[in-house]
Amino acid sequence: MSGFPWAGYAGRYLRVNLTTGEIQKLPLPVRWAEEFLGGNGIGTKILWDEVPAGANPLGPENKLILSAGPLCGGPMPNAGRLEVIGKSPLTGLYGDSNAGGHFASEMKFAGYDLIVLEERAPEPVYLLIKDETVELRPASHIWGCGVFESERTLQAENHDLQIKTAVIGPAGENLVRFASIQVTFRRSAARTGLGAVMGAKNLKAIAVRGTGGIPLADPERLQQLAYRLHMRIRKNEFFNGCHQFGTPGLVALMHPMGRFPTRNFQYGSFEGFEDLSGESLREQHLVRDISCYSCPVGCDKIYAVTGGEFRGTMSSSVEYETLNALGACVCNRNLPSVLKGNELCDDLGLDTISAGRAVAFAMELNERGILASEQRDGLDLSWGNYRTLLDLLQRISRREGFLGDLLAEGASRAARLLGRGSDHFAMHVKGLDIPGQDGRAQQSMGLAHVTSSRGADHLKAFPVIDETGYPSEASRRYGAQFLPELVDPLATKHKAMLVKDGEDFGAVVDSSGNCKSGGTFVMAEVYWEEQAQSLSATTGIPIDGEKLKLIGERIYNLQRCYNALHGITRADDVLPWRFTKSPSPSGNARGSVCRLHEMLPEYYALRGWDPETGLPQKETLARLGLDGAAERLAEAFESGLAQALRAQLGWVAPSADPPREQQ
Amino acid sequence: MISVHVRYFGILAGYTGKKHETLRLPKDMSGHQLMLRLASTYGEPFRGTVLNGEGLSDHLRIFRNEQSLHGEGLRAPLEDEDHIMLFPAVAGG
Amino acid sequence: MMLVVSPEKCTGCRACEVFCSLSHEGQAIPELSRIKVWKAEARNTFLPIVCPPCTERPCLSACPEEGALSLRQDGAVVVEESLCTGCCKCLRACELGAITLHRLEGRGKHGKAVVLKCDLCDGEPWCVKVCQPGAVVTAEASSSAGRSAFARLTELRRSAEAEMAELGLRARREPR
Repeated sequence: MSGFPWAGYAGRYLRVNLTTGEIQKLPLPVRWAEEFLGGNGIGTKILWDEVPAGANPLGPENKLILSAGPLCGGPMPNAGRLEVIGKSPLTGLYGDSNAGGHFASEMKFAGYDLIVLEERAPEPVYLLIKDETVELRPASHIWGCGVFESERTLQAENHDLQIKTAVIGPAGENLVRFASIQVTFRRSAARTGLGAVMGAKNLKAIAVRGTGGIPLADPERLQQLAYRLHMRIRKNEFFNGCHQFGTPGLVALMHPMGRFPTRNFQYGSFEGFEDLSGESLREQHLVRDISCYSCPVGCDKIYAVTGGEFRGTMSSSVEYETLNALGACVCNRNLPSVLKGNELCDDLGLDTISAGRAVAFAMELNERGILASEQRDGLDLSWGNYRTLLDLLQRISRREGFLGDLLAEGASRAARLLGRGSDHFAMHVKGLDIPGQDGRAQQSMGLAHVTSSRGADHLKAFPVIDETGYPSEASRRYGAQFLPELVDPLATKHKAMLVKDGEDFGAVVDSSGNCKSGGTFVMAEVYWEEQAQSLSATTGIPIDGEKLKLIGERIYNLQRCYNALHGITRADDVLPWRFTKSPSPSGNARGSVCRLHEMLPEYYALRGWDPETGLPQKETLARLGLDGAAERLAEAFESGLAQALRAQLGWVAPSADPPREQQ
Repeated sequence: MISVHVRYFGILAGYTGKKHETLRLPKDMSGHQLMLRLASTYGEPFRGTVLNGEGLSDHLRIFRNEQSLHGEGLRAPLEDEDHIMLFPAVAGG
Repeated sequence: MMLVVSPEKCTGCRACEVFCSLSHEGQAIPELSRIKVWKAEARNTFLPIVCPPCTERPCLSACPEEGALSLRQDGAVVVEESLCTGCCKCLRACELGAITLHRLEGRGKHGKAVVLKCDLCDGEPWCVKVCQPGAVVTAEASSSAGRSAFARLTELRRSAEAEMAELGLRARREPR
């Protein structure tokens, strides 16, 4: 865009006021790009500046930001990831999610780095972007429709099969707190429930088609660098496995590791693991491999169920997390039903992780006799009942019945509404459900779940290097002096360093637009220097690894600050009792608990956060150029507003102590 | 002689052409020796994935009766009806 | 040399498009890529469309402007942009739809529009280099495998277009 000093960016963004219908095409503030990069970083900055701490996530004051990074649309491997940022209806805190596919690159070709959606439309609408043409179109005819039908309608009415869409389903419309935004093709921006923010704004979809180009600062150098990285990934030792199986390839190994959450985390190994494995999936259901933008890995697949009860199911983006959430964690070993559940979640617009965890929560309450008989809506909530699981997914999306409506709030809020000791069985941190890992089987992951800025999440820090242990990669990235403990999943030493570095690098990757499963974390071929080189060849901004580290730290600290405005402190950096007090009964993790107390103090020290409060210290914020943040935080606590907001957050803190009968 | 059940996961199954087998082995064979024997039986690319010279690859995961087998454990003799699981050390999420 | 496409192997990543556009246009602009992946994921349709070239070369016969389209020594059919008037006769003659028209300021004989098509790079096609699944590979010019791949791809494209038309989705071949 003329005027913007750096290449790689469109240099322009959209601000859409859904109440008035006003659409502004605005120059991208150079400061945003230089200090926060793009994607996740710029979204964080906008949230900090523009969405006050007291804002209702489902109210008009919340903003929904769709943000592409400077690498998006370019030749770097997997340079097509979309960031979605907003205040989360599930946690009430900083929320974000990230999706692959082909939407982010299309935004860049249309000529926009990000889209900021404000206020609330009086009637259901969708935003249509075709290069220079940007307009709000009526969407009442697709309101109430599933995602798949909505996509087809949007393609047909725009006479363009290649139009890319970001759509919510009935779950988002019904303000289910973990509703997703589904992005071409069947990729999900799901965690933290930003689909409900779209639903609350009466925004059914965003459709984009772009035919422009992205100028690059040094096209020849970038082409050579990108090609070299494409080939390094293709020749990586783990490429074949990633390509053939995708993330489902993890299922079988996680079973003996004791890292495959089963029965709402009561166990870490699942008897039926082979039925849910990547091997079974590929053998029994594979149709073809598919790929996100510019990605050589092709880890995504289209799967089909050709016989039996779920004949006709076609699903893609069936990930490890879903095989866990709709499978092992609810003791379901019926793979076709998991595929059906995944297809349903994609069509209804639900986060498979939080949806599965809500059902696991209900099943454990049932096991323990905590649900009264009239609270079961006549459903058989025995472990493994996949028909109940599928039924509940539908009910949740429509908030139907007592359970459908309760579970649509998410396990952590449902626990508060239900009482009766149910809070012991909501497995979450800061309101977000714990995904498919167990901090007893991988100490660093226990820490990562706690320190993640959006609540329990594996992808912020994404400690891959000690999941099962990669000594050569660890040496290369960190140095041999940290071995052997750094790569021992059951050791706590050096894990604070691993998690902090992961979070900072992860923030940069999420702000650049490339993918954590394709070379930056998994198949570790792209690290600070390679990322810096690709960014400078793309944009012309003189960035090196050291400068990039500062940007990552800055983004992550700002997310922490935003949560702190809501009274989030060290007191909320806790894991449920099951991880810290109840030794794992499973596999290689047998007898282990998560020794969070051995890692957290070092983490705070490395971060420059106060050891008592867990809040970023003034010196840290000053070093990172976050002017005004320290003052704003101090004011929030001194005035009592932070504490007041914390009390209103709606979810109950995870119980640090076991329920009486298990003590 | 003892009977040992071996299961192959991920790309290893493709390299061996099988998902599992039961082997008759000499009584004092260790886990390490079993891997050398399998590498010799199946050749490349299986061999390249499981071995690093004469030592075992960093990127191989072995479980014996669902317990991780590494270090000293690799030198212990296997027992009759042991269940061995072999994985390429995938990670991610 | 010719390009041979196996559409069943295509993952739809479009790396071919971004690298093609980068090497020919100096920026990332898949719209101007000489290889285009036509996708309908929900119908399991992925068709990388690119000029192989075919043996008949109807585009060459159709072109009325001397030298605007010519046969290079290595078998590539190349556009000389300064002579191209944008008349689209070549585009309509191509059964595969591998030639596209673009209204671009300063391009073509009249500085308004030009057709784009694959020129096999300089003998080392970028699409082939970056295609991980091998959905586009090179073969000897006029090889029988190449010729049958071309025939098959043309047929697949035709039936995909017909299918889409039935659904009310035009798969545009004519220029806007």
